Amino acid sequence: MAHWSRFEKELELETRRLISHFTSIQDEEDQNFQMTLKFAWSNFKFHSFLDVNRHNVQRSINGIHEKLMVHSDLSKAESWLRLTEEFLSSPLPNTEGTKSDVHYSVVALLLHLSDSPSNTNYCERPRLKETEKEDEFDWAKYLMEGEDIDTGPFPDTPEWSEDESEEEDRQQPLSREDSGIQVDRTPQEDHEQNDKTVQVTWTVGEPDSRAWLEQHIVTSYWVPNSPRFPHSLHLHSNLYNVWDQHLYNTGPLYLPEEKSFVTETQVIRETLWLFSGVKKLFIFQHNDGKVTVRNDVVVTHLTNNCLRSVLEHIAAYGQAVSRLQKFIDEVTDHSAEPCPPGLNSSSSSKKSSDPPFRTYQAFVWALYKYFTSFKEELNTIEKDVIAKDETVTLSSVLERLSPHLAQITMLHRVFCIGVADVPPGMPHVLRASHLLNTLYKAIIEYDSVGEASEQSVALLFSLWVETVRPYLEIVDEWIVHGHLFDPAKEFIIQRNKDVPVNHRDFWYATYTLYSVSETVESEERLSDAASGSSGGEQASSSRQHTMVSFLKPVLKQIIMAGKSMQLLRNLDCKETEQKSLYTLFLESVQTRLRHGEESPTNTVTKQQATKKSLIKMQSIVARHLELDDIHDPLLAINFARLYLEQNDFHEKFSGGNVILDRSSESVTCQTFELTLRSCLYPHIERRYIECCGNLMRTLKKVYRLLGYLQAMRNYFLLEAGDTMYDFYTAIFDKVLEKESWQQLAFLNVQLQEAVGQRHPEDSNRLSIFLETIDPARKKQPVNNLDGLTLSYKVPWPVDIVISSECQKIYNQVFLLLLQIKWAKYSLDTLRFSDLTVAAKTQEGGQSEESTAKEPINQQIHRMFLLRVKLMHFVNSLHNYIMTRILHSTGLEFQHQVQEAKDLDQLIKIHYRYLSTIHDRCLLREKVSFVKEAIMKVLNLVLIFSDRWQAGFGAWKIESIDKMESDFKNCHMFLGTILNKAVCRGSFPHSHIYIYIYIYICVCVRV
Amino acid sequence: MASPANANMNAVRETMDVLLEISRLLNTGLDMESLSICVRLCEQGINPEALSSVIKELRRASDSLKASENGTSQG
Repeated sequence: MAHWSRFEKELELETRRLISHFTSIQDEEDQNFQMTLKFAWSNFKFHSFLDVNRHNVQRSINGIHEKLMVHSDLSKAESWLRLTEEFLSSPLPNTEGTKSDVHYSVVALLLHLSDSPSNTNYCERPRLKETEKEDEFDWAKYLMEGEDIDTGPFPDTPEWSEDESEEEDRQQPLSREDSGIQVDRTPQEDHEQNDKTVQVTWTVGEPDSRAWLEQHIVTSYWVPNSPRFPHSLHLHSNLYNVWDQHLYNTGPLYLPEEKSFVTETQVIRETLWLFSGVKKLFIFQHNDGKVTVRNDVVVTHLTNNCLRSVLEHIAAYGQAVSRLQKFIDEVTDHSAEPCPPGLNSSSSSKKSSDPPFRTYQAFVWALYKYFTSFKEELNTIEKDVIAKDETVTLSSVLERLSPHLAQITMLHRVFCIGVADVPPGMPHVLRASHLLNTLYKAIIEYDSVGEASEQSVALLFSLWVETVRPYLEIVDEWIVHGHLFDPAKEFIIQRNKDVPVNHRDFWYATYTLYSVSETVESEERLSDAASGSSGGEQASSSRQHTMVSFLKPVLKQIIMAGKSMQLLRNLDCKETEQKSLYTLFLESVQTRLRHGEESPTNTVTKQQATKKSLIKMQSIVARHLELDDIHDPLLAINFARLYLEQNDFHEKFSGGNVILDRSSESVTCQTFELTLRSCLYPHIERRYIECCGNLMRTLKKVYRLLGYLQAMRNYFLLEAGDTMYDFYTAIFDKVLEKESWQQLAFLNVQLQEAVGQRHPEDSNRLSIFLETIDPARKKQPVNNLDGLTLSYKVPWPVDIVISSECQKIYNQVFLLLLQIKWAKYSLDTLRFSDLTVAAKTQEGGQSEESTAKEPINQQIHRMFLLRVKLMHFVNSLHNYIMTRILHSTGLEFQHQVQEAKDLDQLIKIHYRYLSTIHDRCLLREKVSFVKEAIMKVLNLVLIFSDRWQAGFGAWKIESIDKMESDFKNCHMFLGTILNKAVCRGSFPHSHIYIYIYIYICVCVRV
Repeated sequence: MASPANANMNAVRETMDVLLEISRLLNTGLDMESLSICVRLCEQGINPEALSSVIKELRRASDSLKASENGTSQG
């Protein structure tokens, strides 16, 4: 064998080694060995096999990979691809270069020798070994190329050569046998299985490309038993394993669970998705609106509990976000498109029983705007994560988001209290006002914390300003145009539909004020019937109602202005075009805040109106501030928000002349109530003064209110003395002449004659009626006049003030005055001659009889004296009532009427005036005994005058005694009663009695 | 300097490790030694298919030999 080359020698040597290794025949001279050697040689030299085709080998490699994938041996499949690739690009001992034919032939050899790898894979032993080995291998790789560890979960992306893709393309139709896997069942089924395991629908057509994508684009950590991404074995990156191992070692009962490993980047990404409202997540799971953290998720560098506590924290925020998001969706789903509040609440589709009303819409709109900015922030973070320019960790993300998260917590709290906790079925007005109140309270609450919560207050304030918009628009519509437009019935004041404006009850019964009691939380319906709006106001203050607390200080003004405006509109008064209340409010808020916060820019601001110039201005301001060395983070935030929100909704939605710099709303508002007081209330106040002043002027000038009030006093309180004298003396004369006067025609003719002469304009308004009176009450002559009722037809808007109730009181006073006048008249008309003449005739006839008893002259003298006493009483009473009471009260009243600011006040003044005169004329039930005593005297007067008229002799001496004693009794009675009352001070209007008392004293002395 | 040679040695050792992994994965039943023999043979241009058939044959023969030996010793 000397001719053998060195090559052949080596080859033979190797062959011998091979044989001795496989057959374990160590003796080379053995016959068997020789035979084997010969066999091997002949096979090596004279075989009929083709040379190794690298394409075929590559195809087989891919085939095996696919096969492993089919068998869900994802980790094995991945290792397979990686290992072969690694091998092909590694050097061999005696071969130069990589991916040489030798490489492929070695692989081909192994493939030929392989014994159903997919089958053996089912037993765990080789798998475990492999992973361990693999780890070792990766460890080495880590040492060599340390940076690879940062490339994420797929560091081994193969070079995507055209060769490969071509191969893959061509490989498709090849049979399974090519893969070198011998156990091969129903490839079709396996294929489907493959699809199932992946569970992701890729748009990439080829299953192989898909598989490649699954392998390399992102580890499908959401799939159960997904392959673990390779990662560093450094201790820091394996805290979980170390800890797990520790637990395993120390606790005999510790059972390691199946865990899904994720990377921190994946956790960050899922967190960001969670915050942006994505529901289908792996780490966070949504169950009935609750967000929970998956139990089996771990990262390698943290212990399970640690990660869990962090994630649960995040889940809580996520839950708040999703709840708010859901609310936004609910409300916006109702209306066809997200639209500004204030346009279509009535037309919103009736998908469910409870379409959202404008306040909710406004609130949602504000929330939506906030979330837009929040999502922008999330997007920036996600972009940063993708860019990989800097290390982004979960904690850094949380830190970055922490202000937002705090705000979201706060928003969620406000939402829970203001919206979610309201039981279903509540009327809109309650919901709306409750929401506004909650926001209002929250602002005040946070505001009181001071600087710590400036941003919260700023956010809440902007929310509130948005949410209050419908309310202010309703108020505006009402107090500017006199039209309470509230289709969804959310405003605290509701128009009662059944009362027309030109009805005399309009002022009282048109509106219903709803208020929410905080403690009872029940609806209170306060119909402001009795005394206009004041009833509602009182109730609200006394019961601590909270109906929209921000409006409370000006509620009365709003109601007054609204009603006045509506009335005015119906009186055909021209309207003046104005800026809307909301605009005015925003403008003043802006000016105020800018005044407080940005005083250096104040002058600039005023000059620049448009948005563009505003942006320009802000940069100027920023430079200004830098120059002045002012470090104001708040200002910076405002600028940031200004830029963010400059594409603001106003131009899109309000469609009006509102040019707003929205940053102002985000400026914190120190002392919120002060802000309101200076920004909102003055506008309402001004409007109120305007409206009511206008109404008062109109009523006084166009509708002659004062004239009618004067007329009431003229006729009912007999201030037009001459006119009424003509009227009542005609009646009294009739009575004197014992003729019947109770005929309506007669009375009306007398009245018209009297009035027509002097006040022709009133003659057709005045009329007189006779009410039928219980005959039992007519026993006393003084009650003869009862039932006489004067009526004055007051035309429409004025009858709001001079109502029929007022006329009743007027009539009571009128009747009293008539009675006094009658007594006075009957005393005045008595002639002394009547008695003296009669006495003389009597004297002649019966002189003797009279001497027996009492001289006639003495009797007549007693009559004279009694008459003078009675006259004094009646005159004093008459004077007292006509001058001291009616006249002075009237003057006071006229003065007050001049100063009345609104109609309600005017009505109240009128009522107070009436009740004053009613009281002072002793017509009140409580002091009726005084009045009765006086009535007795008046009765006495009438009886007295009647006897006087009858002439001397028509009465007996005893009747004079009785009259005298009656009068004295009444005197005494009045004296003691009034004396006592004054001493006790039990009567509120004791000054009246003091007057009467003084008068009585005078009387008694007489 | 020995370092390039060393590096080469290490690289080759790693290659062999990888190869062993592949072999295990494929369940070929080759150990490190037989693997290195095979690699050397392949490097010398032996057709892998021929080599594999030889190896299989050797295994079978060896197995039958052992079986017969066992059978004779037992018998």
